[in-house]
Amino acid sequence: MKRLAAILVIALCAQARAWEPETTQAGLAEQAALSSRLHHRLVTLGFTGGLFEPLTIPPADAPALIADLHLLTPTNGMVPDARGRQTALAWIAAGAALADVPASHAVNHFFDPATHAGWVRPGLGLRGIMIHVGLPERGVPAPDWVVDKTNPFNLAGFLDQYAKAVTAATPGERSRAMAGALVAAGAIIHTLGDLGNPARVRSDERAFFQPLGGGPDDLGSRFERIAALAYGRLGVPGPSRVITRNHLRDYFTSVDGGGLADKISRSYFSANTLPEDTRVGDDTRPRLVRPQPGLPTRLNLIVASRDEGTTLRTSDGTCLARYKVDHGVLGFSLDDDCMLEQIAAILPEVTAYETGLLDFLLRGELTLTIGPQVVVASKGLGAGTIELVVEDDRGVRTPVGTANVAPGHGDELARFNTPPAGSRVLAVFRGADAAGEPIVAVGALPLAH
Amino acid sequence: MGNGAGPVCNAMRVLLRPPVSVARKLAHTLIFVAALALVGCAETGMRTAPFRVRPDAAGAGSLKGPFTGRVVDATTHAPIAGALVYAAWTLERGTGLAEPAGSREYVGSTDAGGNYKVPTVASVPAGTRVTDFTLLVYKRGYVAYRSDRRFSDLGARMDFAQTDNQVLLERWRNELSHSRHLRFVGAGTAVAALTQWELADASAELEGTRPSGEDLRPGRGEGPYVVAAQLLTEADIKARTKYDGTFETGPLSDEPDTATYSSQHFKALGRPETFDVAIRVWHLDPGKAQERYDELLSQLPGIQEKDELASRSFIASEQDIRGVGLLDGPRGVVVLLTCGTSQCSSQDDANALAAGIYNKLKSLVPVGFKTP
Repeated sequence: MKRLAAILVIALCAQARAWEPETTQAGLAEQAALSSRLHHRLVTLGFTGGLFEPLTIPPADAPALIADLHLLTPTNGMVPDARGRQTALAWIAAGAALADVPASHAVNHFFDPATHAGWVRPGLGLRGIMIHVGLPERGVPAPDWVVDKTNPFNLAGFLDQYAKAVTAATPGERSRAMAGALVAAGAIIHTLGDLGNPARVRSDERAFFQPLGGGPDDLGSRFERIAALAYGRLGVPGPSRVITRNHLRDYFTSVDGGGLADKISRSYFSANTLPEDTRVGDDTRPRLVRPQPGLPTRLNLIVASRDEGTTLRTSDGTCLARYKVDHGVLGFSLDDDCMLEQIAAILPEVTAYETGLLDFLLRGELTLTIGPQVVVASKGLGAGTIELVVEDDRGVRTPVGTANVAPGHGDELARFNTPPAGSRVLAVFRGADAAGEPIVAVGALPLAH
Repeated sequence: MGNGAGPVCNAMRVLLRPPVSVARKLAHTLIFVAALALVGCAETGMRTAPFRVRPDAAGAGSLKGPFTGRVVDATTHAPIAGALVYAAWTLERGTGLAEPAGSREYVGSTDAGGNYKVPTVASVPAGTRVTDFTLLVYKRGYVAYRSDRRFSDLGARMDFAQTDNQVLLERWRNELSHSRHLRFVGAGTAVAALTQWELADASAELEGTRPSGEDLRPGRGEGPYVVAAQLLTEADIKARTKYDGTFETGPLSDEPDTATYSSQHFKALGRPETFDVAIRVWHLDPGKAQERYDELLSQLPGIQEKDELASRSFIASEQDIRGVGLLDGPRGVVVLLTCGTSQCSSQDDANALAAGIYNKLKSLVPVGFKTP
């Protein structure tokens, strides 16, 4: 930790942005992918290398996407080669990085559970007017952004590409579709992961305009810059656990307070939502901007009166804020070391939520059994349609049939006549799950002729 | 051919890497902290570099460059020629919520002395700023080097310097994780092409069909390991053969080093393969060492058993390659030396090199030491 603290000295002179897309965000996405069911799902669907399967998006097919990818730094592992090829793991990390391109999309990665509001551009006076050029006045709240039609990497896009990655005729088409699905998935989990920064969930947009010392335009979130410096892409920790929810939105916020935004908002202060300065008296109770996190019944004002002040800590010992009495006034602050402690506690939680969300996106599984007929079954699905395809020895897939699935069905979803030839059959369900959430469920089985 | 005898080529001693003292580590860290603390804020358009200008200086370097350094084998400290040197500068633009704005790249390689030089970054577009610089050095048979992170624990690297930097490349060992290594290396067309061979093993790790995770590099496990490069050096060869050229050195490309196998290839630069020398060393239980030696006897051409060195020994020949094999039964060590006829002009040259290898072996590996 001392070594990390040493690195932070340079933050005084560094530029900042969201959880940095090419470092922290890419690392979070990689950890989520490695901890999720994604590898095995890819193998099941015929991408035999799993997370290390090379997938290709020909530049001619998606010139804008490829151009954006070339805005990234190759050494961070997310820039495809001249043919548009890189591994599945690299594609999902690329999606996590591209979610902040352009910066006008990054304003959609805020959500305050107390107000249900997203980004609101702060007023910073005349200078603020100068530096705000290019940033919208308001953003779409993060839970809404992931399903927003104007989001190029929204849920619908993910589901569409994911289904095509199974049903498309040729290996090349399937490779392209799966790469596209992974880019969308990376961007979706990025949007969730950003809510691990307390400033993003406490309406503290001013925390993104902290002068960092690298020039008049060098303003940003010190908190997120510290994370990038301390952990980079490769040092981002794995998940503390895997979060399971029944609804996509619940990963962001839920009535039971179990969303990432809920948890971070009530657990940490941000730079501009600290308890207010208070004159010390008989009953010193600093006013809180939000009810939580609360303050202990008694603050140690004697220690706080020393030059170095003292530290407010969470029950597990993480620094929550520094506080100090100066000229009879009790004041609170967040320094780099304190933020570093918070980041160390927060990042594994963020990875846990991102892993859970990735597993949620991939949750649909179909069971296929083959006799005279191919029987497709699953649990927990609602209404939708089933498509069955058969793959031949060349890897070409052709449709066998489709069937509608009505609400209230049992575990068996559909039956199809077994194809007379082919190496394996694959099924895709498009519809809703039992909770009414959009879902694509997939399954595959070898044919033994 | 696996760990068997290859058609050509190339040395060893016990490697006990001395631990770096806590005091030295602390001093190092303090120097770095001081270096950073003394740094003024960055000029507009160029962030302050998180590394020193020279290894022995307190001042911060410049992201702009140029960058110079030397790449050497972490075990032998021999220079590594022909290693890929890949540098990238990160650009960004915007304020408050900034965004990636492209990069600048440099691709080169080390010279015969293992030296590299990365030029100053070219001009960057208006409105963008340079926010980071990363240097990657890679050569097959070694663990890649990054200027920002260590492979061993993925922690922040604190010893990178802008100039006179020393890059220690550790030999790749079978026990290391390919999936971790591929993440570590990152992308870039040149690098991706060189690491393609790791994809299948990386995938197999995630499938649970390939063991990974154990770190059995020299000096990290229990007891001494036998490393080929410590038994035969460039100086040993030149002293015997009077060769005045330059070698590129590193593990043979057929199999990476493991806890029980090690190799070293002395590739003569700008000369035919007949100037090359190679050494392969197996360190096994005595019984298995005997079996390995017998396999060599049955596989290699032109065998003549001599038993003049160690427990048993042979010489072998095939066209323009001379070979010497030996078995040290008590130590469980089998050595195969191969030497091109332009380098070893007589069998006596090869025999003399083998004798030198055996002398080093005796001094470095205790009798009865159990293999890892």
